[in-house]
Amino acid sequence: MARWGMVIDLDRCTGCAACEVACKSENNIAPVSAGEADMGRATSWMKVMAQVEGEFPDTTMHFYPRPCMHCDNPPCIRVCPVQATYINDEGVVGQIYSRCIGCRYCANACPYMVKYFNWYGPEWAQSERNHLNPDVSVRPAGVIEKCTFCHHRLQKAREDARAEERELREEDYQPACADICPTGAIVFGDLDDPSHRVYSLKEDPRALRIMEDLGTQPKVYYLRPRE
Amino acid sequence: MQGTAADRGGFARLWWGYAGLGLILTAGIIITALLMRTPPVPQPVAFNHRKHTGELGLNCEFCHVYVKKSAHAGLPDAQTCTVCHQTPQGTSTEAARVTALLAEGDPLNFNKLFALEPHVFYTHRRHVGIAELECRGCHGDIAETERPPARPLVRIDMDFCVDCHREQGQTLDCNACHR
Amino acid sequence: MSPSRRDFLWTMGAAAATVALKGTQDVFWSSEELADPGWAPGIEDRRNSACLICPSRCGIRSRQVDGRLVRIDGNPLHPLSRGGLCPRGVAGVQMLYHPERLDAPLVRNGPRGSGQWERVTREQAIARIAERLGGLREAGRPEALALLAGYSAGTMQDLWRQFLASFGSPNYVADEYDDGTEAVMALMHGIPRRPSYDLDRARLVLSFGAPLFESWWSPLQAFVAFANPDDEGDGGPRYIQVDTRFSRTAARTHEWVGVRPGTHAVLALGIAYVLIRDELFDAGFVARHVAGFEDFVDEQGQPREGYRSLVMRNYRTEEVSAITGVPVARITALARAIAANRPAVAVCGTDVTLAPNGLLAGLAVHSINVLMGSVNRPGGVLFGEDAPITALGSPVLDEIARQGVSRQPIGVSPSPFASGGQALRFAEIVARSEAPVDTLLLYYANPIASSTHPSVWRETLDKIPFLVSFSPFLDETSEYADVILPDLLPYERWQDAPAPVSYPYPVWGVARPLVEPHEGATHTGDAVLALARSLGGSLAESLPYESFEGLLEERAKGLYAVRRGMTLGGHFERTHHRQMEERGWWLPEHTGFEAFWEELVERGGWTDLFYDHTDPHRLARTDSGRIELMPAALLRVLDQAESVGALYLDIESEATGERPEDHELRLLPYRVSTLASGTLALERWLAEQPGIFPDVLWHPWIEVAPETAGTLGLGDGTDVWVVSPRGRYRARLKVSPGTAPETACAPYGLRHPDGQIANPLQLLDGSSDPLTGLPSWSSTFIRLERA
Repeated sequence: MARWGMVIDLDRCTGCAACEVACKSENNIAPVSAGEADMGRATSWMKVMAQVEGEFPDTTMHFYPRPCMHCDNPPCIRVCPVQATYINDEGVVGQIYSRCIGCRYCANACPYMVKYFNWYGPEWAQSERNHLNPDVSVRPAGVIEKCTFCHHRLQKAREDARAEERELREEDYQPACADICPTGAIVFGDLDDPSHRVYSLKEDPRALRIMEDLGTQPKVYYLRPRE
Repeated sequence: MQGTAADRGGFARLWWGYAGLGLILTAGIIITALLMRTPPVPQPVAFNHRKHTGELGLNCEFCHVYVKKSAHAGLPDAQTCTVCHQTPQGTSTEAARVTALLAEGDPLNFNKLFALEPHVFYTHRRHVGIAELECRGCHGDIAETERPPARPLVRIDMDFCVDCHREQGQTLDCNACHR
Repeated sequence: MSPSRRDFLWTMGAAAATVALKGTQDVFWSSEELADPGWAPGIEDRRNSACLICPSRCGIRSRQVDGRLVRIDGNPLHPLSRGGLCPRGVAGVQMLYHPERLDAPLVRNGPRGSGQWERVTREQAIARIAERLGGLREAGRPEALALLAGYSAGTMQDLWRQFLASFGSPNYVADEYDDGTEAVMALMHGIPRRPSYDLDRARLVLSFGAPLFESWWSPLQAFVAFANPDDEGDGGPRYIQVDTRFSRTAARTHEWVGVRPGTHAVLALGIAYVLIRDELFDAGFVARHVAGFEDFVDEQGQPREGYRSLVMRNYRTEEVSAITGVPVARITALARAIAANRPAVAVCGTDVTLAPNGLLAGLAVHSINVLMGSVNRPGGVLFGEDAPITALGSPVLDEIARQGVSRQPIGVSPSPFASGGQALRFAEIVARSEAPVDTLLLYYANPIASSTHPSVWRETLDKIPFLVSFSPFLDETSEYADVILPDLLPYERWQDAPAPVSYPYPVWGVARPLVEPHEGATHTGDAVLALARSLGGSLAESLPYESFEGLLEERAKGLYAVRRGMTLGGHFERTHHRQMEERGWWLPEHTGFEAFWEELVERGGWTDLFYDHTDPHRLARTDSGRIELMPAALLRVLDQAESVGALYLDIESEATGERPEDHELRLLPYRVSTLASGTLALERWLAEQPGIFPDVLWHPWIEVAPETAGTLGLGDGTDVWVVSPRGRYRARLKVSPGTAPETACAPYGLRHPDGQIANPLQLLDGSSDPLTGLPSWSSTFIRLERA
């Protein structure tokens, strides 16, 4: 059984945010109005965070693209009263919208702040509905949503592999963010499969996981900057 | 103790009250159920499945062209019907009507009978193209019908899917269908 | 018992029924949000094409489902972008399906700016324009037609030029972003072409204010080179950013050198000083290929100081350190790093060249490349070439056209070395009624929003009787138009997409329709061809093409005939072709032109990844055949005009105009990578993410240092007015620790959520470089007021 995970090389990330927009496009993430955004209600399953230190002219800044960590021990699933969020056999933490009652316990339990609540239904102009991805739900008001590692792509890739009667290859299943990254900073694959790049990258001396001490066992690793 | 008559009167009032409430609730439930019932699905012509698949021996893919390739099986359009019905076929009045409609340039927009909730992601490709399941398994005796049914012949709900997945030893992961 | 209980129960029952009823309808979402709620079969298609949003013109790969464009990804076959893409490219689907796009040609039906329009057909609109243009030619004054051309790619530019020439108008007015480096190359190398940078093979990239990872000519070129160096032996190339603003590029490169505003070029010559002093420069290259390094005798027989003496006398590290604020040890270390990591290349950005003495500063920066011999060598500055597509041929000129084109173009530059700022001069001249322009065509130009002088443009537009806009959106300038013939959006039309000059190899990308073109929109290329047909005569003869698509196919015949290069291919094919061509081999791979064209479109374009480093014409085409560090043409001009300054001496950018006392912050405008310059509509995904840092959503902002904010008593997130003597605009204050004290960094290209423009360029002091005519972006001082 695969255990899907991600390794993000902070030395390669230029903070261009292609991953963010690719994620929004792939997963039908509805933009919110400026007023809502001011209240912190903009949704971004993948978000590039910046950390700044020092003042002119000795400033440094690092970018942290932050998807859902898909923890092996996810705090969000323990607090969900209706099992709308759960972890599957392949380590993907799912969010089942039709079960979700919108209590937002999970959003509060997540130390990485990756869960977003839909305060209102999505607002798409009629013409904009043309670019919605038919593989992914359009979420209604009142449910929590989050990164799924583009799980729908795995299902399609599996279908393709079976139709062609071959094994699933590493490049068959890549989330939208890893696919678009122009510097190849985001690497995705099966953490338990020695033929996948993430297998060895996660053992790199630079590898770290955010807030590991909480015992969440995230499956997103970061390669810390060299300098 | 005093005022038993008044007590009795009070009990009667209460009894009638509860009976009335019960009636109202029952009526409410029946009306609700009727309203919630899926509306009948109209079709442009009374397509005879039995005739086409049984007597003429057409396979399902002839009209539902994407049934092995794509998420949705696809519905036939006027072009498909034109293949045979451009010239009058058989003796039935409905067949004559089809030819007439085609001559008028009617697009013959068939309506989808079996529809899943929009938060359920199902692909025909996986179930028919790859797993080679029979159409009958989910669509019942649709191939035997002589007139288009107004409502689905099989109630496809989550139990229906999950029972089969259990029997066949297939995935029960929520993500497999909900996303 | 009591009515209240009955009421309560009744209410509850009703509520339960309502919830049960609504339950399945609203609380569970309705499928109507999707365009096709489970109807269409879900037939998918992927096509290679090209992105036309910015000058980088990367390769894209689309995903269509049932004919709708749902995703844009990178095309892995494209040699420049190699499968990557930037957020602007990805968000293109929101431009294509933008609710505000115009869905029919419009003719004004009321006073200008009243917003009253009549919808007409394409044929009616074209006839209307043709009638007006025909009238101009009949009246014998074709020069009264002008085109304001903003950002436009490849053949559209050639087509417009051909159209104007055969019509008889000399007025092709470019309203494009220019970084002034073409003039630098023309003077030093005698090659009037912007430099190409071989970032793939450089060991060290020293960028002077070039926003490599943000809004450079091609951020993707920089991304790919930064992340995937050709040899991955020792950790890849080193990137050093010299910049006043702590930009995203500065944050990501290996080293950021924060200099005082306007002193980039001084630091460059400080580095040159160390290179010469410690004999770290490429003396052999300088001796063989460079003139003007040593003292010399000029045309008039006067002895002159050469580059070496000028630098050694004026740029001692202590002095440079005092001006730039960079410690002496750091300057020395930079010079040593350059010498130790060869090939090293210095990239000259707009922070250097858009200044009152930008040309001189640009020459100073590029002189480092000359010193290090990083010209025409792998990993250095190269002079690439355009893809050898078939030329359009000379326009056929009848008598009217001949007279028209012989006239002086309006607003042509008085500057000796470049024609920067032509659009603004055009506007000023027309506003003063000194040149009667009857018809102005607006092609991807929105000067009311993007110009430094929108008020001048408003007057200009008032003076022009007939305005035609080809904008797909009703932008600020199009609101003044008489006829709007909306263009197709990039994903609906044929268009060639040549890679930017910064990339050393010719790439001729081809964009093709990915979805059915919108019925109400018209390919401007086809509209121009239709106009030419309708006007007839010399115009029809000069442009005898059925459609723009046919024209592109015709042009591709040049690529087929040239017997080199390849249609786009993967890593193996690229390497294979390059190695073959290096050995002088090329094998035909197509049975005929038809097959070639089909494959070219299928793969997304054509490229030739071979560069001849031995060609002396790619080093210098000056009279002496050498690279001129002291170009005679420039010295002549500088000698005559005292006020301009001296070569390698006056290279600091300072305020030129009067600076009001309380305006203490130097305004540093910069282009935001995720947003266009105001000519296209707002895409909501991008408005939610204009910049990673500062993390501001939707609102235009301005960055200041913490101490500046403290002095002003303004907190982070305060709404402020940005005020200069020329005007003011509103922005949100962002306290940013990397910002230099006494500066304010202002993003350019942003709008308020209500669509209003917040353009820092409208505050500029109006000074420009007299040698190039390019506006100065870094010499204006502003103050902030609480709004």
